Order: sequence, then structure tokens, then C-alpha cells
Amino acid sequence: MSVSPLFSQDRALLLKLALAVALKLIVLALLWWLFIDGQQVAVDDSGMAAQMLHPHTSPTAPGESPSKE
Amino acid sequence: MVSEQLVDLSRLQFAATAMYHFLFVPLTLGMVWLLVIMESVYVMTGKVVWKDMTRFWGKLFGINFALGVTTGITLEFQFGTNWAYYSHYVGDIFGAPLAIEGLMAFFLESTMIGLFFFGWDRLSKPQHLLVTTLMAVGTNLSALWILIANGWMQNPVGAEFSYHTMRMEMVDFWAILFNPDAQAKFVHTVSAGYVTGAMFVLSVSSWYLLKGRNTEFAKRSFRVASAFGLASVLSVIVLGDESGYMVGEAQQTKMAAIEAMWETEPAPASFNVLAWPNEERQANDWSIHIPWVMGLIGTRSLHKEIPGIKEIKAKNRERILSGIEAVVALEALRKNREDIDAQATLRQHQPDLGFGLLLKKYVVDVRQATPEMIQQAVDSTVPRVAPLFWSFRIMVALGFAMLALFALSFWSTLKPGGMTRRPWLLKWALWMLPAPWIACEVGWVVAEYGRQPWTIYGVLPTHLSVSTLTVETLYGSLAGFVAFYTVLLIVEMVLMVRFARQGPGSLGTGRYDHDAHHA
Repeated sequence: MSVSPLFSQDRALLLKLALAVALKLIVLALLWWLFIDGQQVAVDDSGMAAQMLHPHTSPTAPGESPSKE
Repeated sequence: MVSEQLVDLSRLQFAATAMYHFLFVPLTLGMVWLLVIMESVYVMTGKVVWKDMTRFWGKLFGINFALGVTTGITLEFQFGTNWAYYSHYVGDIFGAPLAIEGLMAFFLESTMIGLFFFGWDRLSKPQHLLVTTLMAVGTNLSALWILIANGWMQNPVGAEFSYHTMRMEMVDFWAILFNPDAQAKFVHTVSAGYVTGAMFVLSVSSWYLLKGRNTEFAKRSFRVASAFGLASVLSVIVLGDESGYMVGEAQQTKMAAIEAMWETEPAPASFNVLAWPNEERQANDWSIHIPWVMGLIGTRSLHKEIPGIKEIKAKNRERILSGIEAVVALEALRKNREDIDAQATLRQHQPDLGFGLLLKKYVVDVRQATPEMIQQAVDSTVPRVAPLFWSFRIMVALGFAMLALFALSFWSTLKPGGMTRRPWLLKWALWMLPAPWIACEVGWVVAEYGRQPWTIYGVLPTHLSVSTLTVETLYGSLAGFVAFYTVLLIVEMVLMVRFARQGPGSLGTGRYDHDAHHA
């Protein structure tokens, strides 16, 4: 089966779309690294209980493990 | 301290990314079936124009897919980053559909999309059609799993709360899979996507016809889009009615707020076509209503009543008082898991646990809740009426406007020259291009804003679901997402407009006006 060459406009479009997808991944990774990576909130049953039952007094601070009852 | 600002910012971030994501999704859902139809005709007739149609509209589909892909991933990440407590609470139920959705999207859908674009010269005609069909199936199946997860948030069936693990645990997978809310939501949502795809093809084809360019190509596209659009918009309306019935069954609060029904009317209730809801007076300043219609839509009966907001609030007060007992028992069980009395009390009041937790927004020890706090919690159980009332009416009005457009467009295709003889119809089709997107977005406002103050209806309040992040972090990431997504949207619009303007000439086959080979 013969393979026709990709039309040049399609090639340009593909390049732009690939660039857009790559840019997306880079910017999303950057946003993650800047704002989210250092702010992990670990949750287990004790953390959930603290959040549900004592939400005003014992929240888990960003970057900390959940408080134990 | 879980501040109101933190909750609002987390909600805003999720809403902004979800609404942005859903600018791409419906077009993908709809256009993919149009490609299947066009390619099927090509395989059956062998007429090359149908292959060109599949390739040209497929190119616009590809631009939309490439720009839209990964925008949904941020939503799944946000469950973990911004809604860590929610994720713990529902992970046992939510994990399965989201994981299956990921597999569907990445393995079936993406693989087939690759084969669709690069397989034209490598696959036989039937093989390529099979690829296009599997691409459509994969796209729609990935939507199914997301909507099963979302349907469970609206109507949490098949799960039980465990005070040992402090989360909901799945007890019946099939109940979650066949949740009537999820099924109604799936068919309504994908049908709305089909309408979006049809409207896109109809509008762009109308523009070619108005310009007198590529008329044979445009007429065929217009014909397919009008027929598919008419069938789809009828499905949206019929299945939307079914979705409304499900909402009435599972979420009476949402139904009452959508309809601005403050009082319980004698059955069958009337339908407020237009009204001016007044939250302070708990009444409508004025209304135009049609007798019986709401009762028939909401209950499928002439005898069942639809409870009004005031009656619902009175019931919710009872549930909050019962919920206090559940919360107190849960606190006791967290101290001593063998406490037999607390176990019995929790078992008795567990259906109202979520209502008791609403009070945690105002007081740590729910036993100390004052009548004012209880009243605040009662009032919070009903979302603000005006945004829901108007969002729903915008969605419905646009739905019927699109029905009229598709019906007339389809009718115009039945007579020779019918399309080109009516420039007003072509202009109408062109200007209606944004309509399905607006309808989809306000539809999600109805579904999600209408579920407030819950992330899981009746089970987990929103204010207890949010991660304890800093407000500064949320402002930063929100600004980043909005700025970046705005850039992506501009890139999408520029590429779409450029290739739509070029038309099928961009395929370089030498068969069309403005052919890039001749330029």
C-alpha cells in the first residue's frame, strides 16, 4: 500500500498542535511545581475525623500530617 | 480554620477549569459521530466527496481534541489537591469510575484518534471506518464513567459510611453503575454534545453557502448536520425531561429552586414560565405560570405533590436535629469504637449525619448550636433560587430555539435548492453557533450549583470537603489556570477560524475553491 506524503499545511498544523500540547504539559507542570507540590494535605481516618468533627480547632496545616486523636 | 474564602476559591477554581474543559468536550462528543456518518456514506457509495468531508471536519475535530486534551486532567488532580478530604471520603467509590475513564480516554480514544489521522493510507476503507467508530465509542464511554461519578455525587447510592475508616465504602457496584441519575445525566449530556457537533457543522456550512463557496460540499454537510442535529436536539429535550424527573425524585431541593416553588401547591403543580424570585420574602414578586405542567414533568402523575422550598426547609430542620444525634454519636465512637449505645444511635440517625455536619460551619460542638445557628443551617440547605431559575430557563429556551432551527434546516433540505433559497435561515444558523455551548455551560451551573451546600448530596457538606490550603496558593494557581487557559482558548479559536475559512480547500486535493494547492 502506498503512503502519500503528508500535505505541507497538515504538517504545519500538526507542528502547531504538538507545540500546543507540549506547552500545555510544561505550563501545567510549572503551575503544579509553583503552587501545589509543596502544599500536600495528607488525609487518613484521623485527619478526616479532625476535619469533620473539629473543623474550627484542628485543621491539618498544609504540608503537615493529619493530627492524631 | 476552614475559611469561607478558602471554600469559595476552591469552588471557583474547580468551576473555572470545569467550564473551560466543557468548551471542548461537547464538540468532541458530537463531531465524532458526524465523522462516522460521513465515512460510512463514503464506504457505502465510494464517492470521494464523503471522504473529503470526513477528512476536513476531522481536521477541525483534531484541532479541538488537541487543544482540549489534558484540560480535564487538571480536574482529576484537583480532587486530590483542593478537595483532599472529599477524596478521602469518597475515594472508595470515585476511584473506580475515574480510573476506568482514564483507561478509556487514554488507551481506546487516543489510540483510535491516532489511527484515524495517520491511517488513511495504511488501512482499508472498512478498517478505517471501524477505527472511526471505535474512536466515537471510546469518546462516549469515557464520558459515561465521568457521569457515573458525577451522578453518584447527585444521588449517592450503593455506599455506606464507616466510622472506622471515616469514609463512604462501596457496597453495591451495580447500584452505582445503574444509578438512574447517572444514566439520565449521561444520555442528556452526550446528546447535548451531539447537538453541539451538529450546530458547528451546520453553522460553518451555512457560512460557505452564504459566501457561495464549495456549495456541493457545504450542502452535503448541511444535510447531515441538520438531520443529526434534529434527532439529537429532540433527544436532549426528551432526555432532559427524564433528567428533570430524576432530579425531582432524588433532589427535591434542586427541583424546587429551579422552579422557584416556595410553597407546596396542590397536585398537579403549575410551571413558572417566567418569575422574579425574591429570596428575602421567600416568594415570587410576579410570575407567569402554566397550570399542571410542573406536576406532570416532575412526578409523571396528576396526584403527587411537589414539595415547595418552605416545606423542604421544615423537613431539613428535622433532619438537622436528628443529624446532631448522629454527630454526637460519631464523636463518641471516635473516642471509643466499642461504645454500644453510640453505635446504636449512629445507626438510627446515620441518614441525617450530613445534615448534622452542616452545623459544623457555625459551631464546633453541635450540642451547643443556638436556634439562630440551626436556622442558618436550615436556610443553607437550599441554594440561591435566582441563579438556578434563570440558568435553567436559558438552557431550555436555547434548546427550543435550536429545535426550531434544526427542524427548519432539515425541512429546507427536502426540496431541491431549498437551502440556498433561504439566506435568512443560513444567517440564523451562523449566528446560533454559540448557542449549544451556552446551553451546556448553564446546564452544568444548574447541576452543580443546584447541589449546594453539598459535594455529595445529603451526605458531605462542601465546607468540610475542601483541602486546608492557603488562600494565597489558591489565588496564585487560579490566576495561573485562568491566564493559561485563556491563551489556549485564543489559540483554539484562531486555528479553528483559520481552517474553517480555508474550507475543504485546505485538504489540497485540487477539488475545491480556495484550494491551497492552487494558492
